[in-house]
Amino acid sequence: MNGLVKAEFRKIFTTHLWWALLLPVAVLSFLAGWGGAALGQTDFVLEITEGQNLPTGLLTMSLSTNNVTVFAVLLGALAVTGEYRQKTVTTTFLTANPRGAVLGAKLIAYTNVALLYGLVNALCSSLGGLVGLGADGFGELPQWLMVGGAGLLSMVLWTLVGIGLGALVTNSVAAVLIILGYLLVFEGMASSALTQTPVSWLTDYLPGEAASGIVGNVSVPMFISDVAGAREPFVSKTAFELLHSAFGGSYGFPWWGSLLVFVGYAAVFVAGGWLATAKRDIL
Amino acid sequence: MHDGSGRILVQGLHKSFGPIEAVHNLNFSVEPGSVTGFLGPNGSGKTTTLRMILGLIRPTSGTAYVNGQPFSRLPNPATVVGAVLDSQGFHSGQTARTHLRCYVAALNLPDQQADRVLELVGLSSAATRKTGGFSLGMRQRLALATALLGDPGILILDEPANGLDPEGIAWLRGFLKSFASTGRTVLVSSHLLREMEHTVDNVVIVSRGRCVYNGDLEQLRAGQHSRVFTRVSDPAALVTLLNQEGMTAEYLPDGRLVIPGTDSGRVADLALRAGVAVQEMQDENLDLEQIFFQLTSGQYTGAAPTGPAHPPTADPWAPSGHPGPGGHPPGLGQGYQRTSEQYRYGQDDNGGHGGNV
Repeated sequence: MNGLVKAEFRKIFTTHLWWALLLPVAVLSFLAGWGGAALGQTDFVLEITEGQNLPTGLLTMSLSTNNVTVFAVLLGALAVTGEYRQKTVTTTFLTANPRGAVLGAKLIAYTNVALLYGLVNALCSSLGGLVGLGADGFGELPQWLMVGGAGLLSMVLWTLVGIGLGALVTNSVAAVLIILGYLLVFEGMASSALTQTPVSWLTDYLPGEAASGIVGNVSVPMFISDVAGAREPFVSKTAFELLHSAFGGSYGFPWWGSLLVFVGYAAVFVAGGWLATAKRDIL
Repeated sequence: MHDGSGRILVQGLHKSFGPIEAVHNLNFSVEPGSVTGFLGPNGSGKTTTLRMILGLIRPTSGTAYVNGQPFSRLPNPATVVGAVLDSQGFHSGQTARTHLRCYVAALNLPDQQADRVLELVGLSSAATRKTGGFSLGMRQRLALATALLGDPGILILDEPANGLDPEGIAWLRGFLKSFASTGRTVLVSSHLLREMEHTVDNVVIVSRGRCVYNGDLEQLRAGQHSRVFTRVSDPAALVTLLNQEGMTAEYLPDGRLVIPGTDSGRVADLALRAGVAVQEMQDENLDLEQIFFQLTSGQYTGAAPTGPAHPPTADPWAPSGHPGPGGHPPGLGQGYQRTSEQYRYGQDDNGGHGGNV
């Protein structure tokens, strides 16, 4: 198994995909951190908060995480479909038994790459925040670590979802279309359709919502608690909902609840990919 | 664990893709120490069969064994069997060396093994070039290098000569022969018998997913090399004598006799003994390519015989019934019958045993 994981690392770092997708992660994270921080410094916000120093860095890290995880799921999916497209999957399966071992090795190797993605995201969005806001905008170190850690979890789980999805569909184009189509179009439509119905709570359980809730349900309550201090119990639900809609998560939903839901999705996709891989004819 | 025998055994292998029956009840075995050619026209199920042996395609029924085990139960399979299936399995951005090192790692081998196999196939000078710029011949060599990484005892190659120049083909022949001469097993597919004629010791010939011959190449050549067309004054007398001598003959519609497995000198002697006058005599020699064509299409006949000579003791083209290695592979006679039968009853499911129709 060690050998297979090593083989996966070699496949990753001798080809371009890993940095080609990491590059936009770095850039977008930086921009999200910078732009978000600048927003907190506008006259309008400063007027409302009476010049109080806001830990907007926590929110912007949440924002950047939920925007760049799409590259993590693409990475995972293309990691698998690329082998089918390049037909290296034949040799890969000829050098490993059973096929599940290959998938297992990919899960391990790409978990590590996803952690790298998560770190780059945390660092770049923080760097952006520093440039736009200075060191005061991040709250306490433990808070920064918690939001950053939630970001790592989200990044890793998205990558695993991608690997499972890639193993299910095997076609690169189809995988990319499914991912982008779902995240950019379908889930938004499904959420707005659900809001008017008695089952509107279902939206929290959709994959995209659940994933963004991992970070959003940490950062938003933390931010409000910081800003409101002793007045926290009197903060209106509307304020929460406004922030959640921008930075992920939903009012009153615990972050670990989102985590559990999304772990469930990752498990379903990985298990599906595993079964499909074991049965598939490699032509 | 596998038994280390180096034997490939295919038993009752059957594969359907939807309504298309790619492989039908295939039985054969491949022995170590020899090069076995796996021959058949395009679309006859060769690639499907090889991929079933390698566990890449799941058979509809039947099993293929490598070293006594199905592929899926071989631990570290690349150290048991190496395969060259197509020349496409490379990431175009990787160099020959980085490609190989991925699989070196998967096999828990030292990195130097990558350079060793590159040297074996003559690609050392291209080690740091990206595979995207490789010619087809270089890709074939790199695919072979990949197959050799685990130093396997069995080598399976699917149309390896495709894209190789004559020099490359000659090199490949030498390589396969020397590989087999060390007691290892080679199974190599081709749609051209001529290409394989000087390389292989045994052949498995398939047509439309069915095995039509399995055995020694020399036997195929010997049993098939000639037949005699003759016109004599009293065919019945000659046929009686031929039958006494253990030979067979068939009437052709134009009144000639066709006598397989002999030459004109022997027939002339017999005609003299039978006291019949020879009016016409003609030798016909089939080369391997023609035999192959005949076996795989069932369409090659000098002139289709309409009625059997009396009595039709055996198929005129059957050799003395050479049983191929391993189990009950069909002899040539069965194969020929099956092909012609298949020709007439294309959908007949019983064709696999050349049985009753």
